[in-house]
Amino acid sequence: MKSNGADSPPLSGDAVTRRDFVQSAMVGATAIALGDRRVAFLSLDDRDAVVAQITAQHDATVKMLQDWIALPSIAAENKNYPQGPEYMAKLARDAGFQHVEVVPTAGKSGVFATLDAGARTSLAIYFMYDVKQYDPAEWSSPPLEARIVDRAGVGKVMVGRGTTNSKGPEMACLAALHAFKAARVKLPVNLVLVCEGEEEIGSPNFRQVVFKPEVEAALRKCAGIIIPLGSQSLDGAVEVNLGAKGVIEAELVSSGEKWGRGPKLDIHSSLAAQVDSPAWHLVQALHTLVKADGHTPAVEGFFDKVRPLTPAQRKILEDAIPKKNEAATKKALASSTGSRTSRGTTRWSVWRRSRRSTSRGSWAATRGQAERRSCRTRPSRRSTCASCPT
Amino acid sequence: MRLVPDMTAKETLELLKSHLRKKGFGDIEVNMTGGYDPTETPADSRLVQAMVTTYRKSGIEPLVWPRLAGSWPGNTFTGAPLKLAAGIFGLGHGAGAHAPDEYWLVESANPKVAGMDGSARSFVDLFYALA
Repeated sequence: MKSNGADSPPLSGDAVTRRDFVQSAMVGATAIALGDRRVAFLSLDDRDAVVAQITAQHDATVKMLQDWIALPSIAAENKNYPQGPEYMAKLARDAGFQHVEVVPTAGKSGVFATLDAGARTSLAIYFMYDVKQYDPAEWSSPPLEARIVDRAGVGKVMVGRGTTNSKGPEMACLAALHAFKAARVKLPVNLVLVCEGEEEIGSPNFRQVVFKPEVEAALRKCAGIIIPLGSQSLDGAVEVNLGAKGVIEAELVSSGEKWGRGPKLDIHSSLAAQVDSPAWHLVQALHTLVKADGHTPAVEGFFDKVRPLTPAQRKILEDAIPKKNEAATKKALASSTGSRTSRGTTRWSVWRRSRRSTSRGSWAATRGQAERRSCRTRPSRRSTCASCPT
Repeated sequence: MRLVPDMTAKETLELLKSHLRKKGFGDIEVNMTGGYDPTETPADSRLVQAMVTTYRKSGIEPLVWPRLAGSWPGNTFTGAPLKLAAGIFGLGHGAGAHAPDEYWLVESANPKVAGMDGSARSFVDLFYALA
């Protein structure tokens, strides 16, 4: 819907405005039926205008994403707060959200924003503005420079921390809003935006954002909420997921103090001949968490609460499995000698691991950097092992 | 640790602690720093239907799957008291999350895969599909 000003000339025929439609709809069901058809027709024109605008503003969108990549907020390192939430608020304002506020929590602030388009339907959108840690030495292109690089067979890609998780898809969503604004087309839905800056540490304070009374009230009006993600694989396929796994991020700490053995202070490794090692104690503990295959959980009762598949879920799986290509995933991500044998049963496993398998084995080998940061291998008085979400 | 319905973060954490105690590792501290329960949304919800319609409009027949193997705090919305539908949505492609050389596709070499503009377009179409 073009957001014509109040002084726009009255239109006739198929060129009916939404305002006209709303007025005509009030006179009866016939008008509603007619109006709906006209609105649908108009939406197509409007949609094309918005899409043309997306193309026209391509370079500006890329620049906006690059600027955002240059400001990584990392909760685990207390890096770039409050700049991160303030920048997020600015991005929302620039995209056309009329009400934007930074929402403080006991941890890092969230951001809440609303865009009232006068539409019948409201949609909520979830953003995370934080990113994972990075070690520039491991990158072929500096992680904060967001350079455009040719990637064979893929295209021109932007390389940088947070480009796919999740600023790139989020910027695509914002670019859509910029395009509506620039094309002077009214959004067909109202929007409620909720953002957090602690997703990468397991969202410990996010409920404080969502259940702030005015945020909760705005969300209650929504038909649902989306999280932007680049859902396509390299062959173009898309999955619609009817949910996501929950997660626990936890740190296991083995210490001489709690153990009652081992050193009081960090000591030289040669002294392992005389003094017990909390590091090896931790290794022994980790060893009990999974079975000998290296991935099946061995924690007693771990699967007890798992709800059996419903017939509908079973049908979804049976329909989807022949279309999925697990072998291609393994080929793309796993080392040739390190991948698990492909078996149908892995599809049905209730505890499928999504995480990146690193070449450095460790418990919950989710994120290489987090592990290397927290899994100490020398005989110190404390040894830790962390797992990380998402 | 990743959780599926009806596992909960709270109960699973207790299982881990109890396991360590029983195996003689009760001295090992377990510090949960974050986490949440699994997210679930009905296939027949208006949001999921709009997502499917949008993908089809782009010529893609999406593969419906019970859940993402990764996590996001969608349960905050799908659980009580809000009980909203929640969907992971968007055309486009990227890779390397949490790893070096993470990337997001800006201009695609494959017409079947959306670049930045195609990804933005998918949001436009979702808004119309849901309106």
